[in-house]
Amino acid sequence: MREAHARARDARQRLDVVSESTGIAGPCLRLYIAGRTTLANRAIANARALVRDHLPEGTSLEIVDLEDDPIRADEHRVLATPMLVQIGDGRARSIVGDLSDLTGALSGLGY
Amino acid sequence: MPHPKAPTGITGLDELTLGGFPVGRSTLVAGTSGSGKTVLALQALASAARDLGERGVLVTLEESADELIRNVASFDWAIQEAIDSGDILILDYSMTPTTDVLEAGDFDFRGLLTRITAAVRQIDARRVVFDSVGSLFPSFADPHAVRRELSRLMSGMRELGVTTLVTAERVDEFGPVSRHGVEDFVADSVVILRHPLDQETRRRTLEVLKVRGAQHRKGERPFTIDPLRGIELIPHSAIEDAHVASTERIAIGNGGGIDSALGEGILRDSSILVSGSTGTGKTTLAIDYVSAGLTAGESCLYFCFEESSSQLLRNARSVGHDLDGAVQDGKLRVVAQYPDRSSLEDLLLDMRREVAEFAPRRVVVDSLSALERFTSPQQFHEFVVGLLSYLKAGDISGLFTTTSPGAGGSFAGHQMSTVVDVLLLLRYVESDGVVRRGLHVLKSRGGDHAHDIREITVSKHGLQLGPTIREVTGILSGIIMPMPVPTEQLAPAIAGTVIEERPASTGADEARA
Repeated sequence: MREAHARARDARQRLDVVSESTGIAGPCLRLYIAGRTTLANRAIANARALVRDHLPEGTSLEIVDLEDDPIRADEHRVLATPMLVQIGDGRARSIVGDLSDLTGALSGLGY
Repeated sequence: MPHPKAPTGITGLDELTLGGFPVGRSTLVAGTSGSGKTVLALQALASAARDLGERGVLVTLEESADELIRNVASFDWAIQEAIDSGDILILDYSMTPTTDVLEAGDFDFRGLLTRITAAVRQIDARRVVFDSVGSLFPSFADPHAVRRELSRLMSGMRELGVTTLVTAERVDEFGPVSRHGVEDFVADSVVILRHPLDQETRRRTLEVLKVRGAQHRKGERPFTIDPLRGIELIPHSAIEDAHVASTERIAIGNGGGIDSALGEGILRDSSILVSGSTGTGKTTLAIDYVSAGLTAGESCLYFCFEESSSQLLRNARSVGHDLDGAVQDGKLRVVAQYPDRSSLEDLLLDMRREVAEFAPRRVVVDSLSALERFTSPQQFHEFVVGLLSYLKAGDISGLFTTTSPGAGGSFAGHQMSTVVDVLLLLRYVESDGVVRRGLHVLKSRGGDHAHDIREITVSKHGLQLGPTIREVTGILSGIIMPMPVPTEQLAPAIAGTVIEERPASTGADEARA
């Protein structure tokens, strides 16, 4: 738990591309945010909980703050934020919102 | 101090908005599908880049950037060059069928705002176009949230200081401004494009609904989408405001007496309408007018809508005017074409282009009746006013012919009579068992013209005015009747009648015209 907090603080400080991985190869998730707004922070917390509690072990979560690197919005045409994208083969699944609707988020990711 | 305006570079639109759209504000361009809103937005963007050196960001929300640019590639705005040189930067946010977007919780549009902000700073953009915001609504469950976020986005644009054009779709031509109430947050200025069906043809109009904090001209203005230039508005009589009225008088005939009947010719910038039934000598009069112009060293442009160029020149020879030489010398240009049903707006622009290119001092349109047949009165009126004001602004004299039904000929209710400066009526007159041709000057602005009906003869010396034709009346109503008792008392009984030898000083018929 302490480690998780440290990682989150680390992410806030670097305000940069942050990858969070358990070390085992699994699904890749990317959460796009635009600035550390309340909404973004809520989305980050919800995304982490989602990965920790509901997704298979080895799922990686990358947080991309567009305020640090706006060009990165182009890859997934990030219009609305926060946006969670599941990167896999072919069709990318995107979920817009702060992920407070857990059931919706899970079904959106295909679980 | 009035708010500064950002020109669109679109012919006629900047006059309408008195300089363009407010700098640093957002303007909504709303229209039904196919009304030309995307063309307008992209044209303004390309024009700013090319003509003003103002760079722009294009945010595509509906069609992909490729599709959008392909659709406007045929226009000569050099938009591809502007994209290649980095003067226009495109952010493609079009919805692709390969992305599923689901909603799970609250969201904002900061992602887009952040991206646009970066793009604006990257190229130091002054303009941003969103095309079209309506397509955002189906992507999200809550339209209120979309409205709220679009409103924030527009605030963001305002903070960036960029002049923004936003297109949005309308459902009905005359219903609410836009489908999703977009105008409520893009509220600085609103432009509406329409293209309703009118007499089996699409008629495009543009209306500036409001420009916050600034004045603009009101009302619907017809426009056309030229295959090369894009949107062009038909100029209105507004141009006349800037025009300095001419005081120079020019002759329209070749000594046949018509100029003295008009009161020493006409003013240089006058427009003349010649009305008469078939065979009364309208084209002969027009040829005389051209010939008089050529004699005075003025170049002439002749729009011949009812016969070919060679027919016209042959007719001219038969009335003693050999115009072939003038054509060869480039002093006379004959544009012979049968106007098709396509659009009067397009025709007007073609004609204006022809006038601008040839730069004549005299223009003939023979005849307007060819155009009147397939348009609504409103379209025809706009066409005539558009053409007249264009000629007047260029200090060009114009002569128009129109065919009146019946032998008598009449101006009764003719919508052109109020906008032209000189009205000439040609008609058949039967008297003493002989059919003769008569000319009557109904109006000649700025001239003390004759009020009698003069006999005209067409010979190989052109058109000659003869003596006054007496003993007939009904010239204005078109119903010819012999004049039984030529007394003043009878005159009011026949509506709109001008009787022989009325003193010219009354000016009564001029007021009626």
